Amino acid sequence: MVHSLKNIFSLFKGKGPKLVVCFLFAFLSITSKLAIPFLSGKAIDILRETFVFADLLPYLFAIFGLLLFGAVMRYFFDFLANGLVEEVLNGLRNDLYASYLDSSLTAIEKRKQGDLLSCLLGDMDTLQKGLVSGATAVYEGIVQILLTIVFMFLLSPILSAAVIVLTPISVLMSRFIAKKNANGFKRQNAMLGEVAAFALESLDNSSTIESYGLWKDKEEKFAERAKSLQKASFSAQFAASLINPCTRLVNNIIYATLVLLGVVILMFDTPFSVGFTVGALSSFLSYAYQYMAPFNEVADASSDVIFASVAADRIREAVSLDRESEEGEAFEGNLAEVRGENIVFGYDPSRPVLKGIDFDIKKGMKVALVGTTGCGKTTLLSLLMRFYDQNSGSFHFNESDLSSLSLHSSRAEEGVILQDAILLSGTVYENVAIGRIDASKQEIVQACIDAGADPFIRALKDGYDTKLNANSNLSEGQKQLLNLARVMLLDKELMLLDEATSHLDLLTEIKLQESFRKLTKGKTSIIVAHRLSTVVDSDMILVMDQGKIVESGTYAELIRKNGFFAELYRSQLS
Amino acid sequence: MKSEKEAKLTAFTPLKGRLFPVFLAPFLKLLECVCELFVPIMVSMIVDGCLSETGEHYGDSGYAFGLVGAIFGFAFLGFGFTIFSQYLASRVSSEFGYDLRRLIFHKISALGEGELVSFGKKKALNLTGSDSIAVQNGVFMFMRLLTRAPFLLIGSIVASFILSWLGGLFVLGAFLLCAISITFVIALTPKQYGLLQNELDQIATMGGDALVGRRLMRSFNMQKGQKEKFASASSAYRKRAIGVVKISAFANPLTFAFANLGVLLVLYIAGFNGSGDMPLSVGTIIALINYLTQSLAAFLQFTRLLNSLSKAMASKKRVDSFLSIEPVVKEGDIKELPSGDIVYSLKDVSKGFGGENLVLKNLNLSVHKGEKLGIFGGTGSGKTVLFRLLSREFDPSEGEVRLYGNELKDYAFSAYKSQIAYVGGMSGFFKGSVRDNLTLGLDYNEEEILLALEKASAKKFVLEGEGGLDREVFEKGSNFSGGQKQRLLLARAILSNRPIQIYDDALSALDAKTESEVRKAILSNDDATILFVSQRIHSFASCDRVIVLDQGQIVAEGRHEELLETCSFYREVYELQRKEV
Repeated sequence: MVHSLKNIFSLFKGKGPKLVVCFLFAFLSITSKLAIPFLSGKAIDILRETFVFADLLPYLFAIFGLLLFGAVMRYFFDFLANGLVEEVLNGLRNDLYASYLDSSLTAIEKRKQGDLLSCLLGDMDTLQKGLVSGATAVYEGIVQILLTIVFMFLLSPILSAAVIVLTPISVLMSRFIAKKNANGFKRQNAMLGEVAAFALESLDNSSTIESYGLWKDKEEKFAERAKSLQKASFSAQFAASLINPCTRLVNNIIYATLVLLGVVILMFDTPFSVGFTVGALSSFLSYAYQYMAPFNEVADASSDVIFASVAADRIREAVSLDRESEEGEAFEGNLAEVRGENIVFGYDPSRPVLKGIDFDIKKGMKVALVGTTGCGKTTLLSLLMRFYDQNSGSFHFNESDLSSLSLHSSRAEEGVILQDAILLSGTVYENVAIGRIDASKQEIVQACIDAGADPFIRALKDGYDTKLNANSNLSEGQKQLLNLARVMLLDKELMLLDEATSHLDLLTEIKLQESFRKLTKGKTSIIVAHRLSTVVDSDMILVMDQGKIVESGTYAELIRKNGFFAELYRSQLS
Repeated sequence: MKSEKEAKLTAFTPLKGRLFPVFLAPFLKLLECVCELFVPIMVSMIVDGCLSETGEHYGDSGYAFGLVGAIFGFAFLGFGFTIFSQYLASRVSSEFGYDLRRLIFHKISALGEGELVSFGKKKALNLTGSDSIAVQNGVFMFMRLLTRAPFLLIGSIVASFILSWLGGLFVLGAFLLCAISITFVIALTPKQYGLLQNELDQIATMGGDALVGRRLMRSFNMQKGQKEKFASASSAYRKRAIGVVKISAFANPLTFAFANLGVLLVLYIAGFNGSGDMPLSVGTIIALINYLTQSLAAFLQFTRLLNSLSKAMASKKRVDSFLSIEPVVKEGDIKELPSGDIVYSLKDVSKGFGGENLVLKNLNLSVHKGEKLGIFGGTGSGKTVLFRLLSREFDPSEGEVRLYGNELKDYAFSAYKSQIAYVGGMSGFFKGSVRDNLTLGLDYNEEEILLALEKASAKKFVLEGEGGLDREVFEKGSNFSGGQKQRLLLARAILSNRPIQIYDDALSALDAKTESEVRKAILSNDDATILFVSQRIHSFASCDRVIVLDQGQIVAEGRHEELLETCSFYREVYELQRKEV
């Protein structure tokens, strides 16, 4: 707990003055709040004994002043504390997002994407809850409890001692139940997972289920799982709901004990009876009530704070992933040559995927990369896009070593179609214009027409204004057409196309040939093709096998050579 | 499955028949509150009766201890009531959750594929998960918590009036002021919370995009622009959140101020009136102060509850909207499928989805019994939509789809659903054994299964795999390769031996030799009417007829040989593919 609090406090680095002000507001508002019962107890004694209104009046004014002052201070505290929390969270959110975009792919891909994303959602939420609860814990817990003890001792040390000795019982009780509960909730969550997995499978396969008349069976199986969930959730909920009544019971017993002690002290002549009045008993009972209440809150808050601390650690880790380098000079001039020299690379350096690749591509050449699955084609393109750094060897744009150029400027030379076509959230217009936000609508439509995407876009309900997102119901082929349109809109010197048409059928692909010709005309292009028939007119074919370039030449040369390529060509076609 | 009474379902439908416990639990809570409310009265009786010189029982310690004993007794009695109430609440809400989930799942089963897709399968999935949990929690909270605060409040007011009508008025006044200010706060926040949720969704989407599209964004140098966009989304969220706090931060100080104002007034009146005759006894004052402070806490708890309850209501709304979806595809009356020579006939069929382009345009087509119809068409040709029309995932925008002479929409679902086997894509796997995945629960003997596997060229890898037919199939069939999955799905269709079979590019992942074997096995089924889509033109040689679909229209039709003569496009592709072969 202490560690967690420390951990969370460290998020507020540089915000010390604001924290102090927050704490001051808390202190002032609670002091006002607690002084009121003290004063009203005094007032009651005046009513009981002297009964002079003029004697009472100062107390009434003081109470009035305190309630106004306390209310204002409380508002400032709530407002400031929440504002401070939001300020910290806002900073963290931006850091996280920057980390998603600026971190090296190696660092990102080592982690589960879902985990990284949940930093931004679940963990942020947990952190927010924990910070607000933490503030409440400090407010009601530390400050209020301590001040209440002070006021109680002023009234009656013996009753205070009784309260302080007895209260931990209720706290221990609620902790004990909560601990027992953890298992129940774990089981409930596990069952929830099973129910969700089953529902997911059924939804994914709904047309199969429908067509084979399996719904009845599925409903029965779903009911079985839902039943186990129900049992788990009953025991978890019941156990959890015991905490409040049990602590309330203990608190009520303490309260009754205090009344008992008070009666004894007031009615009998005990060593404690001196100076203890009915008014004091009244004040004391209010304090006892206010003293016990926050313990539960603090107990609740403490688990929130612990969760928040874990969340903060996860977020911190996600924020501090290794970044891509921002260094490097800008590429200048016209890209006349792309060279690779003895490129060696492995995602795990001990198991290289590329084992010494050399190539030299001159401006305007159309180069095809071919080879069996897993031979390193995509990896080679990834290195050119600098998603990863090669273990050894170097790439060159003209005479510049690629690694001496800034990422931004070398990527700015490249027009890329990646293997996976991904939709971003936004309209069709926005999705196509990601590389050129300033493109006009006409240009975008033209790019879509060139990419063969226009007909299906126009069949969508809102046409080009249709809002898309990662889960949009477009076929892979349609997504690839949009991917193509994105590049059609750009004017880049080096085109890197990785299986740009893998989800398109031959028919569509043939129709798009003219567009591809237009796209690569006058440009240097490196193409990973999934149909060997499309590499026929390449200026150079680089044939890769097991991380090496085993042959290169034109189609005619390679067929004549009757080597690896010729064999590959025949095997793919037969 | 579709009873006529399904129309008016809501998320609360499963509460029917549970109303007694649902209201008994709050009633028990009421009893607990009564027990709690008696305590200040007991205290005031002690103060006025035993501790004050004018009291009837002044100095009577036996009487005082009796009252203290009653306070102890009420503590235990209240505990008993509340435990029973909690038990009921947990029991009933968890059973409610069970019924609700089944209801939602049943609705999933009752809706067609088309409707599920347009509602969003992911949303439907959340309904069975987080949303039904939220509604279940809402019921739970209603039963065990929600009523406590109002009962305590009302009870405090009543008890105060019993003690003294003047005191009662003050307590009532203070509560009314608290209630008004809290209502004001609550009335203003839900809309804010809704807006806040929108901002949060935006943040979530952008975060997801950044991770999924990490390569895309890097290769298009989008980082700077995206970060700016995100920063403005994030600070919009922050502003909105602070806006909410600005309002909600009033709750604590206002209730505090009003409750203590009550205390102040009680003291003022007690003293002001005062020449000798006290309008309020000291015991009453103490009790009133007690009610005021005690209920303040209840008030604040109540506002917190309302916040979580609004979450449950949002989920309830989503569940309701799902349960109230009217199936667009409605069942017809014809239960028996007639026989006839013409299986399908499509007359002037068009289908659009609201955009300016139609996906199918004026399609006319007849499919004869036992015919092997080849269909050649690419992305956007409309073939998938055509198949979805044939299995009636939706109805055409215009024109008629007929099956054995009657319009498809006039049939009961049972009349034709079991007639059609559709194979396409890679989905349709269930967790379970290979055998279960092939038979789908129907009875087939080992020989039939093996034969189907053989025809689909899947026998070898199934039997050689560990466990053979009993080998486990993982989620989405992830422990099989693409080609293997395709062959298993083919084997399932072959085994089902349905009269109408649609193969939607279902052999695409097979190598040429296997493809040719499997294709021959499929097309050799003389009885079945088969619609066969392929990207390999030479596969159509063994079809009776081929249609070429392009942009939603049939652009050519005829036997394979005829098309080679008449359709230049068909021939061009054929030549290109032949060059490869």
